[in-house]
Amino acid sequence: MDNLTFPDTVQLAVPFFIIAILLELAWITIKRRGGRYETRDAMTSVLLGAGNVVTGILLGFVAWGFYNWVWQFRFFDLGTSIPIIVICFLLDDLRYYWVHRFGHTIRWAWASHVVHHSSQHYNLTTALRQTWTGEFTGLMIVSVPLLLLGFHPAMVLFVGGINLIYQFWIHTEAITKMPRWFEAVMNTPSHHRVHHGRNAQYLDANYAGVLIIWDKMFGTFVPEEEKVDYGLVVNLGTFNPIRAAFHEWIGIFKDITQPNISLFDRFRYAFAPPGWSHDGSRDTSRIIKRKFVERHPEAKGKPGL
Amino acid sequence: MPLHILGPMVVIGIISIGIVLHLLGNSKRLVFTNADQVIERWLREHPETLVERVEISDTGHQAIVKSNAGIGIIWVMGFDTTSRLINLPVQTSIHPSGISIKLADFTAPRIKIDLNSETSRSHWITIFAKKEPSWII
Repeated sequence: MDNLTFPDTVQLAVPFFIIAILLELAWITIKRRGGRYETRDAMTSVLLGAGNVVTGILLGFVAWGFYNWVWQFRFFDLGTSIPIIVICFLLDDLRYYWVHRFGHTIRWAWASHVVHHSSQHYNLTTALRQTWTGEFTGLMIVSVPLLLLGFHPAMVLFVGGINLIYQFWIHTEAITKMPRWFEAVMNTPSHHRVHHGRNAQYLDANYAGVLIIWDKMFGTFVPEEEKVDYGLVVNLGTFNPIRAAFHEWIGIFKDITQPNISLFDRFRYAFAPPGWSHDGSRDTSRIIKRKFVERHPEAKGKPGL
Repeated sequence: MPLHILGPMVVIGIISIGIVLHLLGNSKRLVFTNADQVIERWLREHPETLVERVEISDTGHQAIVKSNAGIGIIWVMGFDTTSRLINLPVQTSIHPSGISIKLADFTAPRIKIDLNSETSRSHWITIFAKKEPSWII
């Protein structure tokens, strides 16, 4: 059981990713709707995706080693039956929701995840725009309950890979809405477009991986209503993937090493919500929403505001 | 998947996507043609500001914005734009097709501004060089 292996689903999906991108591009070009592509933006995305695979190969041992270390303290060994894999997938999706939510609300984790939101476009290449620094966030700790419950480390990684592959297809504007029952339960292109929006009402919404029910349960669901404006509150001024991958880490370093602030302020520059500043010179999502409502009182009470 | 298969597949895939995108005309850049267009894009990132003046570079790929929050620069990123309020003065340098400004910003360290004539170069350099620039159009 300790030598259990599962296929590396994300690596196996690479040919599918490439073909799907070319098909989406063909669809957009022929139909003249359903999204837009920009060469440098898309290249940045796929290079960041390739870098993510490379860092996964180079640093994957960190999570794997940690998971196996935790596994020795497990309360049960649930085995590898199909029902157990399905339960593991569902619980891992809940794990993903919280990791993703932390990724938006704790700057230390945002420094890694911001990469995924740094495109002003929304197409299948955006799905590949992934972090190179995920191992540094320490959020692998959120998987500990699953491991202690007796879900094997290889299984936890396997279902996590399936989760990421599911999320690939929802990064598109080519699909407007799925059937109502599907939209009610599953994460869809519409729900995830909201998540990538920089519109005030769309900030910090729809963290779901596969099942949108988690957002509905935890009060973070916002439906797609007005047109989504993709990207960051302050957009990048470069297509350089290295700058995209590390810019927020550099920002944290500059902030915590500045002179004349307290130790607690230094801590908050690293772990408070993105946009926090000791002198109020920047805005967190909460402040952006409040200011938006001040400028647009008619929007008060709308989902996400 | 073995690395000797995955590696070449990724490299060929990336190159193919890049070539196809370029050949389909997706490398075109937005061009600012009027001040309203610049203001609309500026307000997208600085909704609380009031724009007072706009000056567009010769190619329409950059514009300088004077707002009630200070001087800013907006420039095209493919079909899109990004912008920054800047703390004047900033370091400028001349290059064959215009000037460059250096910002203390890891995500936008150097912005090239396309300016054909010597007059417009010196005008923009003057704006960037003064802490309180006089605005002459």
